[in-house]
Amino acid sequence: MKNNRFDDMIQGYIDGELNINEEKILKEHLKSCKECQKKLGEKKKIAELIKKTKEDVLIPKDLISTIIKETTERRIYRINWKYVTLGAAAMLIFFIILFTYLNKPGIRITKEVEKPELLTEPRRQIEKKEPIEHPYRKPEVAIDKEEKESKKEVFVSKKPTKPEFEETRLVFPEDGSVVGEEFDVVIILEEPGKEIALNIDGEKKVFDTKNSNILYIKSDSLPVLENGIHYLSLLEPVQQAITFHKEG
Amino acid sequence: MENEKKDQRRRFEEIARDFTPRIFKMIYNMIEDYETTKDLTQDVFVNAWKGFSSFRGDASIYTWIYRIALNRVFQYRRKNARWKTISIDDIKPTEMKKNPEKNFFKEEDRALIRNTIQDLPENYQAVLILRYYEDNDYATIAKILGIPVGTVRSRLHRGISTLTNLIKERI
Repeated sequence: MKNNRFDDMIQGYIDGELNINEEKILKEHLKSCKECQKKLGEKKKIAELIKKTKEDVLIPKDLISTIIKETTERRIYRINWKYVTLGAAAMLIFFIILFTYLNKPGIRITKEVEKPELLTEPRRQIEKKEPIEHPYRKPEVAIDKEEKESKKEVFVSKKPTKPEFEETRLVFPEDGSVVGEEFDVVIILEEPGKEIALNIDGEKKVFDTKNSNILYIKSDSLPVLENGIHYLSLLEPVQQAITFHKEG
Repeated sequence: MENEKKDQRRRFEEIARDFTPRIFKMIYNMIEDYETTKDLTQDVFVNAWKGFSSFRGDASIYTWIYRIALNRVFQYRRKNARWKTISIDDIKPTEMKKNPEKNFFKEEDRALIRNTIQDLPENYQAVLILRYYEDNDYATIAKILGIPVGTVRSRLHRGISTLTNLIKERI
């Protein structure tokens, strides 16, 4: 056992991998150690024998061409799993967000919520008003919706940004009969003007009236055409009242 | 871009032509089954081609291909029940004294030595094959296996001792 430190050196010696210093030390030791001399002889012999056990074998004739066919001549479509994982994660997050919204009844993603500053008056004041007679309106449905919304949309700006004016609701029937139908909304002003600005569901839209007091808006130029309640009010000219008509 | 790809293909084909015979022979000496050797050699180059675009050349092509080849052989052996190698713990040092007088280092024992090498634990087999079949120096073996040069030497020493003990046991 005491000669263990020389075992590795003997190995290095037979492989010709000892540095001059190590070789000197080992040779000095071998002079006096019979055991290590024996080990060296035995190791040398078996190393030689191992070399001789290597078998030479002919390689298959078509192996190289097969390898080339399977490598450089073959189109490999590699899947980048990083992108697959990222894509899947994004989809998952998208669906989670989508279902979270869908599962909360009564919450609509509307432009009023996004841009509350454009509203002419707080929603709660509107709720108190008597609904204006309108050929499209179904009162019971509208009131139901209003109640729901009055509960949810409490964060609507409290300060009216414009003086109080008529705000008219366009109530589109629940059965979807309006969607896809063409009709005009006719706005009659008290006095003629060049253009008017309307607040349609919280979004400002400017229309050219061409010095007339009557404006026809085609249904397809309305920003939203979904069933339910939509709000229209006059932003400019101020201090004017308007009336809305529907012409089918 | 297209030229770059062409150049890459050309370089790889050169490598395949150069290394296929050597790799085939090495695997054959470790597995000793002609058909399996053919399949495994093919796998080695398919794997090499897959990683070829990311091969930066910090290692030489030689050490890189040999590393892929050894990994493939050992992966195959681990999966294949026929290649159940003996663990180092199974080798009892006391057995060494068995038949001390018998001269077992004869050429007739060639097949026995060969088979015993194939049964050695992976670490020992790898260094013995790379040193005595493939005639690599310690530095190259160290690079192929990703181990220090000193470890190559001690593994060779222990590999030969283990081999000797096993042969003595089997005679």
